[in-house]
Amino acid sequence: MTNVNAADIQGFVLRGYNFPVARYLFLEISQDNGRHFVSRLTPQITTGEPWDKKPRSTVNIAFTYKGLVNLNLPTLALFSFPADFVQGMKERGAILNDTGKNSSEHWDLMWNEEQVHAWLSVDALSANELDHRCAELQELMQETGGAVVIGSQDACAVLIDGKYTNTEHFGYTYGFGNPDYLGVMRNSGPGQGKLEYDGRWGVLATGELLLGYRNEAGNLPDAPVPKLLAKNGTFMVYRKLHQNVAAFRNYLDDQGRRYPGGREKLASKFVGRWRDGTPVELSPHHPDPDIVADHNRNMNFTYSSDLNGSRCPIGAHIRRGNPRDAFGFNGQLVNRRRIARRGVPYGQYVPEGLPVRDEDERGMIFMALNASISGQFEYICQQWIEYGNDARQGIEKDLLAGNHNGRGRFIITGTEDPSDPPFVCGNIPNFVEVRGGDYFFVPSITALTMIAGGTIDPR
Amino acid sequence: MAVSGLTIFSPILESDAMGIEHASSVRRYLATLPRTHNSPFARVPSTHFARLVVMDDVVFVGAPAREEHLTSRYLLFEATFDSDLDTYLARMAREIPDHVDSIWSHCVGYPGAVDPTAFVGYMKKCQVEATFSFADVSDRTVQQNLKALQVQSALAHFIERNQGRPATEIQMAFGVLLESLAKAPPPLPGGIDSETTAAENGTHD
Amino acid sequence: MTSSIDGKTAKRWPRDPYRGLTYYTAGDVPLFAGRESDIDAVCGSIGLGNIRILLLHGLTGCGKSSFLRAGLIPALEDEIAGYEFLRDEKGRPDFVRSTDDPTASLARAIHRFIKREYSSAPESRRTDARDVNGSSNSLRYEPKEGSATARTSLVLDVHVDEAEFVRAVAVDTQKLVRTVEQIASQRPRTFVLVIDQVEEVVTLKPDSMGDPARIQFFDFLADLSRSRYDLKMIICFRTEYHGQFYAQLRYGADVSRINDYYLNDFTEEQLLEAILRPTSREQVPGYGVPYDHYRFDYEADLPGEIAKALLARGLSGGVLPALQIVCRRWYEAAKLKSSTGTDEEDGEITVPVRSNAEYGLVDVEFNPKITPFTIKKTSYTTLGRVAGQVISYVQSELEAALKEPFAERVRASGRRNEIDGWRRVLTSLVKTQINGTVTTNVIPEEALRKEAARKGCKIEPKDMLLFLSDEGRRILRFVDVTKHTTKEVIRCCSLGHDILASALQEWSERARPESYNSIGGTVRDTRTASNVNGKAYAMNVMTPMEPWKSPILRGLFSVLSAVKPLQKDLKGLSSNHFAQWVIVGRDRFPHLSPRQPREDLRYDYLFFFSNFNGTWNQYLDGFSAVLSRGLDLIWRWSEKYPGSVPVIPFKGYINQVQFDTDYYYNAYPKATINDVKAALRVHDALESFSKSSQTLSSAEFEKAYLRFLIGVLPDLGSTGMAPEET
Repeated sequence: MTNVNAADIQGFVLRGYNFPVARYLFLEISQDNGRHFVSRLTPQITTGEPWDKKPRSTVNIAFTYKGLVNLNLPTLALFSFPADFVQGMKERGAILNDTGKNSSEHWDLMWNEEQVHAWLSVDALSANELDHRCAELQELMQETGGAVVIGSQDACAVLIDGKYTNTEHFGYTYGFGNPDYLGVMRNSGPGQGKLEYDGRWGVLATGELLLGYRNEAGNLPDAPVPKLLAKNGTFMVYRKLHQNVAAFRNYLDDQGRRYPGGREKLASKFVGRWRDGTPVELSPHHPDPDIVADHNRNMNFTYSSDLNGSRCPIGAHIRRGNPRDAFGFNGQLVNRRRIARRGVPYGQYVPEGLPVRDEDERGMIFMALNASISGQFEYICQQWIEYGNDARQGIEKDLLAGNHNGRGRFIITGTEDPSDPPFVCGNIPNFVEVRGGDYFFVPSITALTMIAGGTIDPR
Repeated sequence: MAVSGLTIFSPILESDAMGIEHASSVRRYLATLPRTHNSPFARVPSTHFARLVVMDDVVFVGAPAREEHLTSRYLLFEATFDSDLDTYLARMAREIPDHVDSIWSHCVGYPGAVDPTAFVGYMKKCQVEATFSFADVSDRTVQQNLKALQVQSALAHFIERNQGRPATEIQMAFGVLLESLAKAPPPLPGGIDSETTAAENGTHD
Repeated sequence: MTSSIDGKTAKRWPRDPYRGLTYYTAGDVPLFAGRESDIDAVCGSIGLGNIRILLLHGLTGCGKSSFLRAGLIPALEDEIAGYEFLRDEKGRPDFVRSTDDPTASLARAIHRFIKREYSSAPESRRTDARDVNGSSNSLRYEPKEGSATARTSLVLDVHVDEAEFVRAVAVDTQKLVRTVEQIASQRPRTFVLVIDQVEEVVTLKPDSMGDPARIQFFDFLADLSRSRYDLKMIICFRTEYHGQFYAQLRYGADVSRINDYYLNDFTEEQLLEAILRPTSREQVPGYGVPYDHYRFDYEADLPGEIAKALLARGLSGGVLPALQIVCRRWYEAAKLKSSTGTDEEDGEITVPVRSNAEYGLVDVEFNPKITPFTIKKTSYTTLGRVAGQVISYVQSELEAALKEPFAERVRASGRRNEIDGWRRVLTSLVKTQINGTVTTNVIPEEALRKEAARKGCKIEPKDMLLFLSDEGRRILRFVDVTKHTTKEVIRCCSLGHDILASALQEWSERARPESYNSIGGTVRDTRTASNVNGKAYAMNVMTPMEPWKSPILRGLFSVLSAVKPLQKDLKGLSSNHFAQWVIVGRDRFPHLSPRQPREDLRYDYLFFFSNFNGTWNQYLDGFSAVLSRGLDLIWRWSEKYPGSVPVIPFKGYINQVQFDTDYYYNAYPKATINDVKAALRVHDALESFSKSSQTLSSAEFEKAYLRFLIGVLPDLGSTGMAPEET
């Protein structure tokens, strides 16, 4: 198959921009002038075409169901969107276990009071650029009268020693593990796609990411009509995840004191990667910068020789998020549950050792891209993060992201090596709290033009 | 294989006036039956799983398949249980005769549970042999499974509690654990976890 | 076309070889076949000098009216000659429809007949005219110019005004008898009165035993039976009422003057004759050779099959109309194919729908333009057999209505609903009798219109009723019923033929949603809690299998090499506690009492019961992802199984064939199969560890315990509540 038409697809869908600063503007769309605004905006939207030179800033847009309603899409087209998108994240809170501290009553005001219709994302190389671009967009909104900003969220890569890094607030290096899809060109290495029968790594079906293409189940993913509205589009899950850094560091200290392998090792067991990114499966005893730096190795591992979790605990975060071949059948039960992630941290980073408060605004803007919200993101969240049966872990939740409410267990199988013993962590607090979010439809450029022009014919 | 299955189709009596009454009565009765440890099947503890379905008709899958209909309705009873069929059915008649009567009295030719032999004979007349059965765990009884779940839960708590303690202490505590497990009463079928009771009592955390 | 009595020109073939639902008329004489012996017998019976009244009866739908119009009457008039009938305004032999007051109906018919054939003297009574009885109220009636048969004048005590005449007859039925006798005496040939559907005197007013109209009628018949004039009366009615009639007749009438004849329903030979007549190579006297005109044949033994199928159908509405409908459909389809030159092996055959205007008669006798063609067996099977042909006939007429003339009244998307609405309106005319026969009701037109409005029909009821009652269509008939109390005449509707009644009833059965969708047809739209207990879900699936495929499936299940990989994968997938596949042969549904009706099924049924963990979607995704080969091997023998890959049609199929549980019990609701297996491993590990650790020293214990931990820790996930269903 040839490559997908990158010019028709919004850029961040195909690969992360890796710009250090970003601002997400949440808009309310005017029923009268919304289309006009979209039509003026569309030429500015950053597509997936490769850059000769990095632009100074990028612009992308996505819409909630209510946003599409206000853009006056035909009723039949609106009805044809999948139910998960139409209901939105707040209404589907029970599926995601957004209860207790994660329930929407604790979310940022804009998600509860206002109607969020669109997500307008600006990534930039510097804060100045960011402000500049955002100002231009504000002008456009005012000029057309098509949209109003009802909330915004800044995000920024963590600065350590004056350099932008890929570290998030708990101290882990992120950005690994985005899947390879058929027809999508990107820099990658082995281990990101799916396992073929002969043990080599292949690519996932395009339809796991983009609508209008065949997916791993052999179908076209459930998509709105008409075809042109859906093709090359995708669905985005946006979730603001507040991080209780103090609680985490305390817990790590507390458990780390009891764990013979030490604090850093324990931290690596929680996630399945050392904090520098070394996969525990490849190097269970110490981090290894060489592996991290090597694209051919830092994703290239499986769990089939570690089914009891001696090296990488069965409940470790990345093993829950992508079990690879841990469920047998050569990973076939996993292939249709993969998502592409574009997370960026937000809030002020506090280095280890310095005092930090949980109340402060800091955390991760989690964004996931998938063709089927219920089949992919919601499935992972419900079955693998908030539950453990597929991994034979009973009802245990993911240590890092689970909604524990002080209960639960994290089990490290360990080995007979005294520095690597069996270990059980209990009484797990909530390290992550959900503070807002929703489901968005990311249209292709063609679809944007159709939406703007009001030329959608659902038959 | 310790575990067996049964599939029993009992024709439901046609009612005098309209052919609905008996089937509805069964349905209504089944809707009121408790489903956890208070279930009548909990009193036949060799039952792993049991289901009852009032089957109105066969399915029509669409042309070019031909459409056809059953002349009678059937009460379908499908269950997985320990030991052999005769013993299990006789046990049903002995342990829960009232419930059995309430359910099967709506069926053709039902002799009553008062004579277990007659009941077993009746049920076997209605039985259809399975062409193929699958049991992921085929060699453990309900009691053995429940006991194992009890052990699993107790052991997990034990390990967490005794983590980091010196070996001698663990060894002693371990002995205590084994004793208590041996003495522990068999768990009730139909509901095991303490969280269940918490939920049922409304004391969810 | 018209009888030779009137001296009109040569006889013509009807345009279509099969009549459809309308009655045979005199124009169909050349096509009316199969009743030759009956005609002979009846003619003989009537011919007996002393016989005054013939009771002609048969079961519903045996074709009495057709027999009369296209068989008996033409035979009596043309072949035998010597008889003449009451005539209608077009000069055609006519018979009177009884309604609930046959005497009045007769009186009206006679009055009109007189008016047509005679004119009364314009002056008031001539006192010198006396009628047979010497009554001085008589009038002289002179034959009109151009009257076919009136030769001499009549002196009748008949009022000029029809209503008055009817009233007078009601008071004194003798008056009617005298009038008829008068007419008969002046006619050259034997005068025959025919009155049809006399059961209406009973059926239209079922509650009134002492009904005056009924009494009058039997009085009239009693009088007529004693008449010495050369006249005959043929009374047609349904056999079901023969007993009642005869009992009442006996009281007054001279039974030696009354004969009866039972017209049986078609035998197979008679049916064959009827089917084959249009293809016959034999001369029909006065008309020619049918084949020369219609130019078609049936393939070899197809007519025999059709005849058998028609009889096997047990049509309570009579077999002849069914034959007319189905043969016509096949004929038209075959003719269309041959004229358009389409290939014989074509799949789709559509029957052209013709509006009323085309059912006229043609002037050509011999049509060399038609290329001879054959109705083949393949057409017969493709178009569907007899069963349902009548239904589709009604359906196609309704569809034709929606295309033209009522096209603008209903949107394309609403057509199905509209047709269904009219089906239900027509069904309100279906009456099921106690003995199971299905006939037609007679309902006031007003009520039927209201019914149509209630059913949400968009087409104006008045127009549609007219359309349906059209001569060429005859799905509905209008009949006037007199309310006996108020004497007001109400316009009523009935089904054109009883065979429509049984067809409509069957159509309604098929359309009824509840009885057919209670299990398999329903799409599961809500997750019923009754399917779930704790973390287990009870799935019940049933699929139909052709019986010859069941042994294959049984065989497969008994072959280890087929079964072992399946078991291994099922254990690997680890989503089922237990599952069973049960084949119930079509004759194996338990039968426990002679009072329990036996099942009459064509399919075997494959049942699948599973106790699984996870959501419904998750479960089927898992099957589709990793178990497709094994699953397909089991379910490919089931009707319409789409395969387990891709997953969307597979889930659609399961949705269709799954049925819900009423009660579900789970001995360990908080444990998935994974939990159970883990617990068993833990239990067994603990057992062996506890045994071996009894005698260990502290240091040894530490080591052993460590090893034990590493062994059991992966299996110590907690059991408890599962997440909500997606």
